[in-house]
Amino acid sequence: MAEMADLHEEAQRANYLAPSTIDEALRMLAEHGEGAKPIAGGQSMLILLRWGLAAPTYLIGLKGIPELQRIEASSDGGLKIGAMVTQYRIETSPAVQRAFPALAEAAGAVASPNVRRQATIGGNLAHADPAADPPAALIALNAEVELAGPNGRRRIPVRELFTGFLETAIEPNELLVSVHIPPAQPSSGAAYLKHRARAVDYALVGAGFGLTLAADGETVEAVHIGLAGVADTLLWAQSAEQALIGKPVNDETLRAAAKAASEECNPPSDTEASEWYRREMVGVFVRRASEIALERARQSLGRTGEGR
Amino acid sequence: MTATTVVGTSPRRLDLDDKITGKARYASDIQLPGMLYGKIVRSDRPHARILKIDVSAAEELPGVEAVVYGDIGGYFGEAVRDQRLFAVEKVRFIGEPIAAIAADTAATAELAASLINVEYDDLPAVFHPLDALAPDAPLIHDDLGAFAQPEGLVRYGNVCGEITLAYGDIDSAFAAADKIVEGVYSAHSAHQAPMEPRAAVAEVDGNGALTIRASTQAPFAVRHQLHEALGLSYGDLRVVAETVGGGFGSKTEAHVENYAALLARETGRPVKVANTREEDLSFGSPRHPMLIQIKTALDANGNIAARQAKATMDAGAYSGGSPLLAAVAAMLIPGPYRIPNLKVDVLAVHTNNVNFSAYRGPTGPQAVFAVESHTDEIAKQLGLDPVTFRMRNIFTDGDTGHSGQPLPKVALRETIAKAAEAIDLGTENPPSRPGWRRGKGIACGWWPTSAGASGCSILFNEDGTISVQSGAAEIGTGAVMAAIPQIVAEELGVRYEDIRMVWGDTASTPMDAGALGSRTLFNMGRAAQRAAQAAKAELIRRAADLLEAAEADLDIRDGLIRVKGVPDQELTIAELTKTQMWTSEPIQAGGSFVVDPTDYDPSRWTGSLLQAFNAASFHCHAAEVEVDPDTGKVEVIDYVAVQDAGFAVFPQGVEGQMEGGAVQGIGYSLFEELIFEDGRVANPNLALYKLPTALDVPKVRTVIVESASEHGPYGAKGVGEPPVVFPSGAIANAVARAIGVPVHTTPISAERVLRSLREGESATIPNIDLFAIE
Repeated sequence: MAEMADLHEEAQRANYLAPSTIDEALRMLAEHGEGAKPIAGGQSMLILLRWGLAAPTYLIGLKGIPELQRIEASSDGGLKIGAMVTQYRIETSPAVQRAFPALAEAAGAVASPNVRRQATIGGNLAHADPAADPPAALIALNAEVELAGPNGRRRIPVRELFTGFLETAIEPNELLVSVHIPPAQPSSGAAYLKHRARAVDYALVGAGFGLTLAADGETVEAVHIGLAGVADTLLWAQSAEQALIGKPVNDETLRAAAKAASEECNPPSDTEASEWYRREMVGVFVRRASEIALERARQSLGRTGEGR
Repeated sequence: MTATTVVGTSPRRLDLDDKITGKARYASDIQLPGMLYGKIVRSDRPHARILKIDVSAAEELPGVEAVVYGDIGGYFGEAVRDQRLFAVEKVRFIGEPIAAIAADTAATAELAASLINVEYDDLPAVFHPLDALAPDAPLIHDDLGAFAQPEGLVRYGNVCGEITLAYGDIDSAFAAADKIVEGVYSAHSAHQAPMEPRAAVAEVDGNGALTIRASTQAPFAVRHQLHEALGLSYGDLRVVAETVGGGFGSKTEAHVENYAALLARETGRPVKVANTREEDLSFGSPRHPMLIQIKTALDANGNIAARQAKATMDAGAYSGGSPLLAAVAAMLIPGPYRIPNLKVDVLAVHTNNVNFSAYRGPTGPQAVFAVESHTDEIAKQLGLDPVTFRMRNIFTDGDTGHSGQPLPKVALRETIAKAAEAIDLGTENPPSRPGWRRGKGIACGWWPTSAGASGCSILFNEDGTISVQSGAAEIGTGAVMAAIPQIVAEELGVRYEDIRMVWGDTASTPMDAGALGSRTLFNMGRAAQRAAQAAKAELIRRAADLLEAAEADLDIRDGLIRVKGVPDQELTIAELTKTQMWTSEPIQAGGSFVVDPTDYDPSRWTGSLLQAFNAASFHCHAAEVEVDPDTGKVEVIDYVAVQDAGFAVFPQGVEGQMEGGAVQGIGYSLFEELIFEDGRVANPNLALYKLPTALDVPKVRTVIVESASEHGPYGAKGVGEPPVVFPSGAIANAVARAIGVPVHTTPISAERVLRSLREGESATIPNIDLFAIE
């Protein structure tokens, strides 16, 4: 109807470019500079166009680049996910579900089933909505993104990707090409939990929690916590991590971590919820996610033990 | 009565294929040669004097064909004529039209709108009814008495309508009470959210006559407002309802139609004005925010001895439907209970918010949330279960309603019993997780079937197909595109498939008061029944000659006119109409209907434009919820709607209304809230305005009860509105049961529930005393 027609009109104002390789896409970016924007699934870009928040002369469509479409095992035993892989493919991938259930949970929590069939992991990360789900899970999984630029490739941890509201460390002449998740340690577990008003909403609070236990099965050897919806960008919850690292995992330390997370976040008050409520929910969901992660870490430890 | 064969079944709707294939044409789909795009320029101030309007830059923009503003046209309004096309001296809400632009493209019109420069002198503004009632509050209108208005309205200061419904002696009853229970409640605003925003296309002919094709629920009411606003003859205004993509009350008055018509007159070219989603959400006519206080005296037996209630409705800047709807609130706030002594005051109050007006079941969800929460509180204090207290105090057959109307048949007992049984009230189910809370609740009540005139014509074609002309609007219920042809088929003895509907056109279909107030089938159904009976008599009169039989011996069934008791002596309608049509007088017939007014006691009312509930229907909804105690999030686990439809002419349509209405009511109760911040809608899009999705609601179980009305076709009553009225009460009571704390403010958001769990009942009780207002 009328709105769709307007949208169509706006999309038509930009020239749509369809590179078939990453190098070609990079050349287009270099050539058109600020006037060009990459477009993945369009989950976010179409809204920016609709609201007039972005008005690129060129849209560089990435769907014709085969390398960006793959989910593949890395040589180190981890997983490499191409930027154009949809949330639906991640949510339903047996490889992801088996090794990294936290990411499957986060991908499955994005928007609605229909949006998830279009929306991509790379677009989600590059758009950097502060309430996006997958980034918080990827922080918990200690994942990295791979960026391609005119001078080659570089990798940065997901927790360092987000620099501000809808802002990232990606340079204008770079493309986010893949996500690398390191192999799961034998005694690790991670989970992502989301709190929202309706099934299709952005996160009021999203909590990604990843944990590795030392050989004693009690001491926290490593912990990674990512939070969605509670600051002007996706939050790497360092104070909460500090409350646990090197300590025995128990009710007291998990409670301290949840409290630290709820104190270090900086949530908004808006039409959806108050700052007070969001802070309370950070505590609740960090705690709940930590318990699932711990359970998974212990199961993993148990399995490894049996294998010995 | 002989057994019916077509009514009471669920045939394929006549508009089904069009809608499911996407072929149906909506007003915003219309493209006409030379068509321009209209844009309404609106105030961004809640209350201000207009010092200067400079349109020169907009007029000079290439592609702009007209800019109109200022002192144009007359006053119009649903009850009180207090609105004009454009603000002249003052603006009174954010969004009040200042000017309208017609341009060659929508983008040009939008750009031109941004070039109009208005200089304002801001005035003090009020956004809350209690602030507007304060003695020193700024007046929204200098003199309410200056507007043309129906007799009997009580209006003063910022009070747009004050209604009192009272009888008996409440003071003595409260003095003698064994127990007194009191509660105060706050219920919020919500947007109708039809899938299709408002849209209209107007075109003008050589004589200056206008045709307006619109997404409207009430073409004749819109024509009337166009007549008042533009000062044109009714005969020069043709309003045609296109396929309507939902209305829910938002399309009962002229909105975009006015501006499309004005701009078409100004330019001589067709003009389309179509709201964006943001405009529809921000500048519509949403549900009234209400504050409701109820106090009940109970006698030694635990029965209601007296009730006092007072409520405010935020009417917004102009009257709209508020003075009329305040009376609906006064009828609902007491609840469907026998009350020996009663006093209810309802104040509709002007503020500098947008007009609040008709939304499916207007004032109903707010009133039912309050009175049914209050009812559960009484039962709890008496140590009774919710059903027992209600069964002792509800209206029963032969009772008198609050305004003195006779209630010969009351189906409340049956609806409550069925709802309680279906949800298994009284049995507590274990929660799905340890520590989570489960609870069940019910809410019951009554609802009117609005009256209003209807007319219907029937024309016969050469092949026996039948064109039925009806001014009613099909807004999705199936009343026009299934139930009316069912009634014609039933009465006339023809096949449903042979009927074609022509509807919703002020120039070519007989009058109907509009698809509002659950009224279409009740009123148009009787008009169609009468038209079909007249048509049948005419067919038989003509056939009697051809068949050489007495009229009394003829009957029509399945499209065949037969001589009773004589096989083979028959004639198809096609044979009859074909021979008659070109050689004799064409066969046509008409019928019309308006219901007799319901009796009431005039001494009980002050200031009311509505005095009794016509063909009242009775209802009970039941909900089971589960609450996460750490987050306050409420999930509706099970939902049952029991509705007295009088007689379900098109049962699938009735079930559809019940399911859709219940979901809309669940949305109102838990998620949806139109949030105003200093007169501005803070969540004007469907990401922030939270309609429930299919993933957020349970399957709604429906139970239809049939307690026939005296005047409706086959006993039918209005069906459309009531399903949205009762969920607020059922869910509030289920949540109160689950968490052990009543919730006094809607929506019942997770945050409110969490605060209730932490701080108790006081967390949601509005800090007001309406009884203290003089």
